[in-house]
Amino acid sequence: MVTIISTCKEKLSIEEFVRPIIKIIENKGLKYRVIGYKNTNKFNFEDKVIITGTALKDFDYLNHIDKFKWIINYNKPILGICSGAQIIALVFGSKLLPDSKIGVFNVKVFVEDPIIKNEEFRAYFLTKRKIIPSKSLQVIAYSNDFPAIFKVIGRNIYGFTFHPEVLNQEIIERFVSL
Amino acid sequence: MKLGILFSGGKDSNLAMYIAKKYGYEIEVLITLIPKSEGFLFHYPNIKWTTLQAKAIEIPIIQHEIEIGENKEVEGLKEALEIAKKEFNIEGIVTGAIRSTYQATRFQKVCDLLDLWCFNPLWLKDEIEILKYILKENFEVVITGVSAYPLNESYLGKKIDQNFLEEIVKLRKYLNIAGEGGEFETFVINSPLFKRKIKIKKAKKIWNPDEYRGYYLIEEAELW
Repeated sequence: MVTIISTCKEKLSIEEFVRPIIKIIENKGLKYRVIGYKNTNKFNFEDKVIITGTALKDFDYLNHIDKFKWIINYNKPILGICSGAQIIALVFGSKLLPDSKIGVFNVKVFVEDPIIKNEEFRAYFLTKRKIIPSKSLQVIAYSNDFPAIFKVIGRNIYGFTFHPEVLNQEIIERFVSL
Repeated sequence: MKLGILFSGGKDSNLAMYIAKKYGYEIEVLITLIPKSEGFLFHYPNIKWTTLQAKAIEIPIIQHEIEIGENKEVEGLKEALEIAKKEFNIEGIVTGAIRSTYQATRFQKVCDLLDLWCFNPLWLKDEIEILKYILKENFEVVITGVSAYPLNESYLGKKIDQNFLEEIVKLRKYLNIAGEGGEFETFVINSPLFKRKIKIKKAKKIWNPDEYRGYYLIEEAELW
């Protein structure tokens, strides 16, 4: 079962940022469950986890980073999207700087990875924070100087600062097939 | 949270508003942008009849005229949202954007400038499912513009019904069946949010065979 953790504070955001992920997983014929970001420390996870993005104005998830400390010792794949990526980055000691990136931009991949097949592609960004990665993270793709994709070193834990569900659904499909 | 609806009068903005209402949000105002001539972001040609829809829904409306040209349209959107924020204390807007990153980017940037939430509840939804949902929830929607082959003059003035849905599914490979790129435009004459239906008393078809596009221009309409 894939666990989808919603970082959305508002119900309307769920339609926009969670349902597209659900659709991708349903199309792969996989089971899933959805839990909210305020409750992640109350669950046991056994399989892949996707931490979704949320609205541009929504930063409430940053008040609940302590509930994501379980990520440090988690041995299954995790994919964080936008705010989800920020959560992962912060848990592993990274910092966030104010920096907006809104719209479709080019992404260049510098490190080969099984879930990212193209060396260069267009991606939809909707963020107001730039991740300054800690030593625990390796950035494997950039959009100009903006980290686009990172991975926790030695683990299958990914952070996407863009929204792959918009223009790059195949990345999520490959992730859930890992 | 108090919200404004970016409102074109078509099925998508009406459905987005309906979803927001179902989730318990307070809809304070409809915001309609009226281009001085046809632009590439916003609805036209029956846009002025959004005032009648606003009366049917019993929600105030801001109709803001905008100049055409990309930067001018965005500036016009910003002006309209500033008015809505000042006069109605909205904290965010709801749009009917489905898949256009072009539209979404512009809405998001303007909302960010004005510190407004930007909700897009139809985002990435399957176009067929949207049409099915509209029918299931008893929306009454008239096709008021077509501009993509193989849609033709015969569709103008037609209601979206099960027959239309079946026809449009067959045409899926030729066009965006949600009509978001302007392939077809719609006008809602009834929805679960309407206190009264709209009756179109007089309309005319305008078809341009050279450009393969046409409109169903509403000339007279009333609430009943």
